[in-house]
Amino acid sequence: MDRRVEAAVPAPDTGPPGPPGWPGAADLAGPPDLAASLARAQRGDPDAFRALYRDTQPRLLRYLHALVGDDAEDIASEAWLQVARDLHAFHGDYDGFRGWAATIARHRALDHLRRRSRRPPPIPVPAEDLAGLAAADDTAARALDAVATRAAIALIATLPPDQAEAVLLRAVVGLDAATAAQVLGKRPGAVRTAAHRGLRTLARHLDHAGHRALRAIPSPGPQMPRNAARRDATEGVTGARDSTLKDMR
Amino acid sequence: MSTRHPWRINREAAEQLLDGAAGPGAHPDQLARVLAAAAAPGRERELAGEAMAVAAFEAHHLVPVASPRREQMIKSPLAKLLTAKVVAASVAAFATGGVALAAGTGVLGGTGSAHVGTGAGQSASAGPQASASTPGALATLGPARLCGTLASRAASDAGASASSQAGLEQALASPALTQVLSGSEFSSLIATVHVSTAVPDYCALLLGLPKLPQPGDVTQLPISVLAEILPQLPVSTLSEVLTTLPAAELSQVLAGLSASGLSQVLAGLPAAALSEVLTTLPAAALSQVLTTLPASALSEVLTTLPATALSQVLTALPGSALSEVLTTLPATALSEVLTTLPATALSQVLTTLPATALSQVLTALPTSALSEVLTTLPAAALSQVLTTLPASGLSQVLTTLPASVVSRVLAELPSSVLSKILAELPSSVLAELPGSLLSHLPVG
Repeated sequence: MDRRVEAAVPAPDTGPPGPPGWPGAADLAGPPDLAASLARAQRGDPDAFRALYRDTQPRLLRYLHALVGDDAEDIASEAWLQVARDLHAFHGDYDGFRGWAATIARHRALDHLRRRSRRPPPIPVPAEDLAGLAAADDTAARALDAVATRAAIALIATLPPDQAEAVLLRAVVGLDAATAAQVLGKRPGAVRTAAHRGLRTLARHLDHAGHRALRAIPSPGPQMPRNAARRDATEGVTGARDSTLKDMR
Repeated sequence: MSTRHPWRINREAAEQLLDGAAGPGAHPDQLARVLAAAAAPGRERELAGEAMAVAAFEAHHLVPVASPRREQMIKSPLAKLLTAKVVAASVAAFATGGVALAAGTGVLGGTGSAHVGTGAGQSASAGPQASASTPGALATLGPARLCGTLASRAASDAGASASSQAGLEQALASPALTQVLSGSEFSSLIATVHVSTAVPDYCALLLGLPKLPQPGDVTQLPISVLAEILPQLPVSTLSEVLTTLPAAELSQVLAGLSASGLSQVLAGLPAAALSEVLTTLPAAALSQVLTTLPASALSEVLTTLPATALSQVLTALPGSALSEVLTTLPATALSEVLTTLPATALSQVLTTLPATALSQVLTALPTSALSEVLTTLPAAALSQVLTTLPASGLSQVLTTLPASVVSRVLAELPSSVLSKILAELPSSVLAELPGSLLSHLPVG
């Protein structure tokens, strides 16, 4: 089992509080404090574990979808069995937890691919799926959203694997560059370059695909909250995260 | 900020996009939208494995004391299945340490006996010698744990590994199984599925194995048993089971599911399996299935189907079911469905709809989809559609379309039909039509 993640996880930030809850979790009374949930889950609280699952599972599933296609749900289930079993032994903060879970999921996926000894057939480019859709329409936004998410993940999955993984770990799983690098077993600088290249390729594809397909993807709506450290990461180079940013130079 | 090529993204902008910090109007806008869609909030469907994950967590973290609440829970069919998953996982995890199984069985024993758990554990780990655990204790176990015991004993007899899913699968398919299964402690398993040859597949499903040992035999399982298991299965197994069932059984199984069970089953299938399942169903069962699904699942199912299967499915439906299905769909899904259909299927679908439903469907479409639909229809179908529409629907359709499309559509029509249509329209609508058409107005 891989524990490299924990060693590299940066010290907990004292800055912004835990991320806000995502709007899909309507039955949660308020925004869950996921860092606190992590601590409670490690002491054996199943409701806290449930909160971790709800935040992390959609991210893992989408990441896995790009790696193993339709087998993503099965691989995610396997990964969660391992997370459930070993959670009490995990050391680290919430971002570290996501990184750890992503590492487990990734190893399961790679094992699976080795067994099948080939990558999945490429998922069809979504532009065709989307061509018939008109602009977002409020009454049907929900149905459309599901299609749009699937299409967006499929589009990212058309990138070369290292770029796709870097983009997904950052933008969907919500990891910072250093944690994503740990998951992938690479240097943060390399992961950052792969992610940037991926974005440029995507932008180029999108520009060529024209506007019609894009109308299917609504204007930015709600998103899953990112890692607690996000503000530091985006404000960039100065500030509280010197310890991790050092690695990127 | 804006450059000639939208894919020139500087480092700072890229980092913002990757962190989801790019607001509206971010550059490039299209890319920001794609990333936002990829990171949209989680949906119910993505959380389908929640109960199983939490059950696994509880199995590993709770102190092994059977609380009253737990015993109650263990009696529900879902809990039995979850137990099965955990047992399967624990059996499979045996290579990495017996502690997992001990922890799991301690909690999940329900009626609470350490030695029941130990019995299963020993048989899984120690082979033939340990398999002499007391039948009395085994007889009180749920079907899932009986299956776990059965598989691990057959594995040790057959020389297969009980520590991997492949080994368990092999054990269930092996001739050794017959011998083990003849033990009286397993009679309740046979009683549940009526026939001993159905046990291997039944156990594979309960244990969450990815493949069935004897796929053909899954059809021997009682419909009620299948209907209980299906919504809990992983997608790959589910696809295999559903595409193996012959039409009659498939109809019965799907008819046995609740609306939510049905949504869970169908909305999770990949396109190929979904096509096969829906095109296998006879028309009556297909109608029932599609009209049972709630709007969101229906949208997902119909927009997942490729064009040929979609055509086959929609043209198989009788008018009433077709009306219900199409008027249930939200506008975007409806647009996608209708613009996906090839012309012949589209003609058949729209001319099958009764007038009110037709009106409702066409007026629900956004302008672009409506234009595409009407200009795709061949003249004969177009005539029938437009003359079927009640005057109000017809007016709304014609005033929604851009003038150029109206001209194109109406120019397709034979003049007798055109006259009839124009005569239906109120003068306010006529005033908006291109002048060239008005020459077709009947005199007076």
